[in-house]
Amino acid sequence: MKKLVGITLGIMTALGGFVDLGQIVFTTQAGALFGYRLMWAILLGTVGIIVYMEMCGRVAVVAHEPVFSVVRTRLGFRLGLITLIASNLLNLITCAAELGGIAIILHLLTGWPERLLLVAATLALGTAILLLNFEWIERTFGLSGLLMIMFAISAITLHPDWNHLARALLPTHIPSTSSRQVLLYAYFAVGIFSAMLMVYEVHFYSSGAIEEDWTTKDLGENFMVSSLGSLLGSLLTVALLVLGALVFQPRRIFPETLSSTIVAGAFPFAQKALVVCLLGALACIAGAAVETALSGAYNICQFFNLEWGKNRSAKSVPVFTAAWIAMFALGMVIALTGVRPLQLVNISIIFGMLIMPLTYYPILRLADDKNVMGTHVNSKFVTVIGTLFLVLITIAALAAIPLMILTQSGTP
Amino acid sequence: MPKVSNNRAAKFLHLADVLSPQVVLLSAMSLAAETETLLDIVRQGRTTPAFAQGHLQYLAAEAKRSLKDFHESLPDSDIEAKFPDAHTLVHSLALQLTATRTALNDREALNSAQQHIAKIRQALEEIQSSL
Repeated sequence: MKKLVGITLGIMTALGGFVDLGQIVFTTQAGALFGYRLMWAILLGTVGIIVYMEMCGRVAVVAHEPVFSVVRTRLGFRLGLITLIASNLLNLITCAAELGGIAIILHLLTGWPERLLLVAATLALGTAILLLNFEWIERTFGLSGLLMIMFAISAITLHPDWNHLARALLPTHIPSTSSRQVLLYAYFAVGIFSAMLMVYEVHFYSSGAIEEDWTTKDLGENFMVSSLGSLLGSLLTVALLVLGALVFQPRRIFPETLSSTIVAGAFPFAQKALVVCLLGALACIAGAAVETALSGAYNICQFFNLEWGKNRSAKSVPVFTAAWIAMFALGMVIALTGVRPLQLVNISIIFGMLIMPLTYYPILRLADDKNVMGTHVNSKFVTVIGTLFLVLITIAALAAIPLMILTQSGTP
Repeated sequence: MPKVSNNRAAKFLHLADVLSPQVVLLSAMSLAAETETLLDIVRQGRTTPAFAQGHLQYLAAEAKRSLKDFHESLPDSDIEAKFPDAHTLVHSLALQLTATRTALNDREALNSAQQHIAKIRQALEEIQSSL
């Protein structure tokens, strides 16, 4: 039973990480532009996040070190501090974007003014985090996010070409010879890969493993939770790609709003499905807002070796509590300025790529250190796969900014 | 020296940010097609009133952004000379999207809005294929 309930950590981590505002729109756009052709990027991202999520959970359990404690000890104070600042800036930008996304969905559900809903939603989320312990946070957002399955049901109902979908698991050339199309293809491939490996997922996951007092006996569960959670997030990402390909591509539509994606999610059905899609997206985006706010607080406390934990009373962890409240408050202020949430999330996806090597490299090093990990050290296979992904992440990080500039943030 | 390179960087970033008129045309065509699809769904009663209103509001905002991008993509004189119809069409699309928000309960107005938007899209497609 504990194992079953523990899966909610993986589900919330993956849904909040994979199926957040950015990924929902970005993947649908990729489908609208390139059909199923970017399936391979989803597959690559899924394997990468399973490998590193499992590694982060194992390191947290065996070495009792969450990600940012590892970053500080392995990168040194100065480079570690730069990574902390960059990570938390991205957490803040992403949190602001998600809060903006929540307001959009609530506006679509109720028709009430967006700004009022933004403030109300931020207060409601803050109160929920304050009142709920970690387990209930992950259960609430993880399980309610499952409503996103409606997108998968719609995708299946529209009868995708399964053979074509399977063939796209391997990279294929794009028929267009225009250099702009090739750049766009590369931009969306890097973006999908990046969105699936966003570092706040592993910050949250490794902190969650410690919050839940996992021990070495739970390492089997760690693998199961990281794999099943990521696979679910990945399947929903595939559904979004398929919907983009089947609903938008034939009509020559390039979806530029969150509401467009919701239309695709409920396309074969009627009003009730539309409401389920809205609620599913709301749960996932709210989960992402919570993940980014808490990750920001975890990172600061873990880096400076301060007391932290959602399962402890707010007063006993004052910096941690102040930090996540500040993340929400600042995020709300940024969203209230009227900046488009999708613009913010595009920035976070692409700039997020830049700090990935600085997060994943120290984790790989520590998980490969027999002195610290003992019998739970990486197997040779995991080390090879982890190194391969680190190389891919670094290449993608180098390409991300030039691609963003050259494609004007993926404008077709 | 740093000032010069800063200016160059700013110019480069500005150029990278400014969309070409063709890109703006594509975006307007996509918006028109998306609105037609939405209006179909509205007519079939497959959406809620709040959603239809909200979605149209976001599409109208995108159309206004396209219009602004159009102005930024070329000097006004060039728009007049090279894309006079396209500019007018994007402008009417933005107006029609805003107007349609108040006509969601009126079946006839909805039909006429959909036909108007379809005509705008077809005209934009003709311009696009002639470029």
